[in-house]
Amino acid sequence: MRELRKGKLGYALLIPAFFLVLLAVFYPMVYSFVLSFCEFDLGTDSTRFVGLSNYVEIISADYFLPAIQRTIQFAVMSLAGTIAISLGMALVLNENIRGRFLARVLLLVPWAIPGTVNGLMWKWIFNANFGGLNGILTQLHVIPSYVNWLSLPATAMLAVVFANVWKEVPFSTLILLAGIQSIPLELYDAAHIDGANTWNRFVKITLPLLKNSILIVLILNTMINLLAFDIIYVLTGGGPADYTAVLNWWTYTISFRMFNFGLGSALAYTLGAINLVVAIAYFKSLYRRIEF
Amino acid sequence: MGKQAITKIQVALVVVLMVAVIAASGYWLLMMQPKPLEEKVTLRFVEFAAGVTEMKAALAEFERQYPNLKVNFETYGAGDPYYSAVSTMFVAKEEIDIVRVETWLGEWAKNGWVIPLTEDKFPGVEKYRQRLYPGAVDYMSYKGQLYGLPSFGGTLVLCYNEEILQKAGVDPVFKTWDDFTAACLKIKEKTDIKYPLFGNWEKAYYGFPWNWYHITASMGGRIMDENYKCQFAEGQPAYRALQWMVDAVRKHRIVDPASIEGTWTDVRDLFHTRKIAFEMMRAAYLSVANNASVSRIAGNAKFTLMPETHGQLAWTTLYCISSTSKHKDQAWTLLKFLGGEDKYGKLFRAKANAISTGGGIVYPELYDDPDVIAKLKTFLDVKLLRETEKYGVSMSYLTPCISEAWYIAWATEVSTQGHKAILGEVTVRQALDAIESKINQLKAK
Repeated sequence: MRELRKGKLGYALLIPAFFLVLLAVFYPMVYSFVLSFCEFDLGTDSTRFVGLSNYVEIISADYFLPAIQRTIQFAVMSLAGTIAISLGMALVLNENIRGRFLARVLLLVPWAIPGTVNGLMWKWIFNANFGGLNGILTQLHVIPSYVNWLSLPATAMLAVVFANVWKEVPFSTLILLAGIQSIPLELYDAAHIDGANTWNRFVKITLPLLKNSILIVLILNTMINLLAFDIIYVLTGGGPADYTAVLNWWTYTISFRMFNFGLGSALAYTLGAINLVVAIAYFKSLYRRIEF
Repeated sequence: MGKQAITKIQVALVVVLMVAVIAASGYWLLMMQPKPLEEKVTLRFVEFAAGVTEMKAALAEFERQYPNLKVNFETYGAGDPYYSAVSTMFVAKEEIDIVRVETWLGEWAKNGWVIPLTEDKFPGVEKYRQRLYPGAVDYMSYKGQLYGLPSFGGTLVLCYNEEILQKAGVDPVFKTWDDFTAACLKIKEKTDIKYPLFGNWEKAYYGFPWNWYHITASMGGRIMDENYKCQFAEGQPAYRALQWMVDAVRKHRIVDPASIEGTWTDVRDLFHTRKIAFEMMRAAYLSVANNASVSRIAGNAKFTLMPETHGQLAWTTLYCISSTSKHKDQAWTLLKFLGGEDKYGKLFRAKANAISTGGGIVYPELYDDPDVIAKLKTFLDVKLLRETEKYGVSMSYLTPCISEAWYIAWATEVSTQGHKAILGEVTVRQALDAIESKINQLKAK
């Protein structure tokens, strides 16, 4: 009886939080999902049910395939950069080096900076006439003259990827570092005794046992990168032309510049569905129960 | 219950009764106070987050002149952030009194979010129509009805650095666009200037599109007619203008390719630090360019007429009364203060704008004001400025579709195709065809 009363009390205490979540999360989700099947005229504040025509319009729009291509390009490049750099940093931070504590603290600084501030900072660094990057590279004679990093299609995409990776690496490093630190040291000792070198220990022990942590980083970063918007909005505005106009940039433009909320919602859910499919694919192909 | 408990209850009841009596008395006394003859009305005024300090000072003066009126002043980032925020307020039917309007007057008027100013409801509005430049009235009107009073008028002029032009032996008079191109090439040859011109050709609706419209106006044409039929045949000004922009970057290399990411701020920074010889800006900014404390070219920043027909892009930023205002008479008082006459019949804000920034004169009579002339003379040629007023070509004439809700969608496509042409990804013909196709698509919807 006492147990039952405790349970009821627990549920009762959860009710306020539940209503808050309902209001702030479920209601907007349901409303926007319904809106994706409607034509919403901002001017007259009228809504008209149009079925799947928003989704059909998106798929047949001339911007859709190029936007998918750019989104995948951005996500893959960001992911590769993030995983490679964060794995390297995690391995370094796992070693007992002097200043390790300070390094771990400083590591978090990029992650703590808001996305728009990050974008503005990199916009100045990449500035074609006054940017610090051009200044340093010309001083070091790496480039003969200033480069328009944000005006050329190839370098504009690289610039946004670079700025994005700089921000995402800290969090991924922490996840991988935690994974590395959970690997029993005895495995390395045994491998060392058996004559395994550093590379073999990394490939045969560290990587396989880090798979689940890498999976977490892969899923989280893929979702973040597929939904990227703030860095692109601030750094390039989708330009030059539309060479950095990823799907989420179009969601913003359609919803908040063209005020077509029905179409914008449909695009947002299309992007959400793509994200979900990718996450499921990752999980099915990479998840393995780890036993030491 | 013991005696103690009963006594406690009695005391509590007495306290509650006393509080109730005191509260009721206070309320009665309050209600019995004579009401002031006019209740203080608070007006909600929403503006760009630019020139906030000056505006706050102006509103303090307004409240001093009209003690029964108070202004709640709200600001949002210039351009998109403001447009999105205020549009959302209108959809939510929030009470607003005065809003700032730029290129979206047609859309907001069509949606019924801002109201026309008619003489019967807003006495005195007709005299403003007579006093303003006709171009300004045209820009502030929708379907023949005036919707607001001006904040300031803007025209883009061709500014130049006199010292650089003298060094290159270039005369700042350009009869044709070929003359201007030749002048830029001479500057490249004779001076250390790599790119004589930098444009704010960024993707924003006020970036690449405005610059294309401006050059088209100078070439004597327009982007489309009243039926939104694009004027893009080869040889027509809109075609020539885009071709010039592409050639300037790719062939002659007189415009910095980074212009496609350039903002107004980038242009000003480069001009003020002597990195470029020309900029296409509002003449008002010459007050900053000729200010020695912030500019390295102080005393050398001048402006000249655009080549060919001298046509230049013109627009008027205005203030309008919101349809959701519950105090339209009081809002009209504030609107007159902001865009017309204050309580003493003076063009308070218009004159203050002219003096503080030297630009955007929409009341021709201000050219006869000695204070305004004295200030303008410190940084620009007043006679030339007055001459340029007749060459202003309204944005609503150049692109009549500016009043449509889908204008921003079309302007985004203009930037995309313009950038692609400049990057060499498409030809000028292909870019214009895509722009025309987009407008046909949007019209059909």
